Amino acid sequence: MDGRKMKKKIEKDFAAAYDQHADAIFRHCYTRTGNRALARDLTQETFLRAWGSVAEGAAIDNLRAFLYRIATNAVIDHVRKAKEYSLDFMMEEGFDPASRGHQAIAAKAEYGDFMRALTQLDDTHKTAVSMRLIDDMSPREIAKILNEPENTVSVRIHRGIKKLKELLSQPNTI
Amino acid sequence: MIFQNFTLFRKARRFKKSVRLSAAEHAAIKSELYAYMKRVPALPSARLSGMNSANIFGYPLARVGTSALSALLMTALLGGSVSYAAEDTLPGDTLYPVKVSVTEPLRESVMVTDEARAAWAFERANRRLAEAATLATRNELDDETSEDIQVRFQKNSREGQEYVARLQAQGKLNVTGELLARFEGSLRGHGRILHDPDEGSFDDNTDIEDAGNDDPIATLAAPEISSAPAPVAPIKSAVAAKRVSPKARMAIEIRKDIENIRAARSKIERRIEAQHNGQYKQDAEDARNAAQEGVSRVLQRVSDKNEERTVQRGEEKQLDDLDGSDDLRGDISEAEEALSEGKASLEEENYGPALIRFHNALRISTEVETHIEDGER
Repeated sequence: MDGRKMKKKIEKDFAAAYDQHADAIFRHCYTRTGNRALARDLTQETFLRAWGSVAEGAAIDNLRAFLYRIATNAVIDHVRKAKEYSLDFMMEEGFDPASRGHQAIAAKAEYGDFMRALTQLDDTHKTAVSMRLIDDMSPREIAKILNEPENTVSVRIHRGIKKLKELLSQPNTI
Repeated sequence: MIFQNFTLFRKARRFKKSVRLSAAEHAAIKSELYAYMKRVPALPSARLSGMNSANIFGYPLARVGTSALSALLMTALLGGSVSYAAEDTLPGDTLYPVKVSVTEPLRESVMVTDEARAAWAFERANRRLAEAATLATRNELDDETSEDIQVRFQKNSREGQEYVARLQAQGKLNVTGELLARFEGSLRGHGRILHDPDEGSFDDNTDIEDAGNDDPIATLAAPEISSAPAPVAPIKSAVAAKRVSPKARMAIEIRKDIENIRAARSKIERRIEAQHNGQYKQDAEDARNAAQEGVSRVLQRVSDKNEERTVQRGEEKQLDDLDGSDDLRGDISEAEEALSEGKASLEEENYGPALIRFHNALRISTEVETHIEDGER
C-alpha cells in the first residue's frame, strides 16, 4: 500500500474508532466529572490528543486502552486546574444522563441514585469501579490503562463495589 | 447479597445504555475532529492497530430509533465513516447532500454563540466557493452546478452577515472586524481563481458602484430579513453585459459580497477610530496574535510549496514558481507590512489603529492562503 492510501486508511480507521469508542469515553469522563458539558469537551479533547499522537507516528498497540489513558489524564488535568469535582458541583449542575425530553427525566429518576452513589466514592475506587462495571473491562486491562498492579486494581474494585452497594441500600443518604 | 449484586449490575447496565452523547453532540465533535485531522495529517510512519472492525458499524445501528429528527437519524444510520467520506465531496457526488444538508446543519445546531454561528456560516460560504473553484479548475463547473452553489453561497453568506450585524449591535467590534477580515480575504482569494482572466485581474474588477447603502450590515439586521439575496449592484465590467460563463458568474457574486463586507468593515473601522483608544488594548493584542498566525501560516505555505516543487523538479525554484507570483509576493509583503505597522502602533499604545492594521494583515494573509489552496485543487 502506498503512503497516500495508507494515510487514507488510517484516517478512516480513526474515524471508525471514534464511532466505536466515543460514547464509552464520554461515560468515562462523565462518571468522573458529573458534568455533561465538561465530559463532552473532555471527550473531544481525548480524540484530538489521540489523533495528534497517531499523526506523529506514535506506536499504538491498543487504541481503546490508549484512548482511556488519554481520557483519564485529561480528567485529572482538568480536576487539577478547576475545583469542580465535587458532589455539590454535580448537584448544582444537575444530573443529565441523556440529552433531553421525558426519557431523560425517567433516566434521571431511575439511574440518578447510581450516579450519585458512584460520585461519593473516592477517586481511585470510582475509577476502578466504573471501568469494571460500566466499561466492562477486566482488572488486567484496567491495570494496564492506569499503570497500576493488577492486584491493587482488583482490591479497589472489590472495595468500591462493596461501598457502592452500601450506599445504594441506604437511599436516604444519597 | 445476590439481590444486591443483581440490582447493582442492572443499574450499571441501564446507566451505560442511558448515558451517551446525543447525535448532535457526536456531529459537533466529529466536525472538530475531522477539521483537526485535515490540519494535522498523519505522517507516513503512522500506524493504527487495536481496531475491532467487527464493531465499527455496531454503534451507529444501535442508535437507530433514539432520535426524533430524521436528519439526526440519517446521520446515525450513515455513521461517521460516511459522514467523513462526505466531507470531501463536491456537487454531483452521491454523498454531497449528506454534507450540505445533514452534517453541516448539525454542526451549527450545537453552536450557542452568535460569534461561532457567524464564523461557521462564513466557513460554509467559503466551502461553497472552494467547491466552485475545484470544479472550475477541472472544467466541470456547468450552469446548473454553478446556480446550485450560488444559491447556497448566498444563503450562507447572508446568514453570516446577519450574525455579524447582531454582534456589531452588541458592540463587539473586534470580533466583527476579525470575522469580516477573514471572510473578505477568503472571498478575494476564491475570486482570483474564479474570475475571467480576459477581464483583467480580479482586484481591478472589484470596483462596484455604490448601491446607495452605506451600511449593508445594518440593513441586514433589520427585522424583515429576507432569504432572497441582496440586490446586485451594477458592475463596471464587460462581464455583466455579455453572456457570462458559470465561473464568471460566481466571480460576480463574490464581488458583490466583497463590496458589502468592505463597506461594513469600513464602518467598523470608523467606529473603532472614534472610540476611546484604551478600551482596545486586549483586543489589539488578541488581533496581533491572530494576524501573526495568519501571516506565518502563509509564509510556511509558500515555503512548503517551493520546497515541494524543488524536490519534484530537482532544481532551485522560489516564489516565482507559483501562479500569479507577482501578486502573491506583493500581497505577502503588504500583509507583513500591515502586521509590522500594527505592532508599532501597539507599542505606541495606539490600540484602535493597531487593531485595524492587524485585521488588514489577517485579511490579506487569508486571501493569499485561500488563493494558494485553490491553486492546489
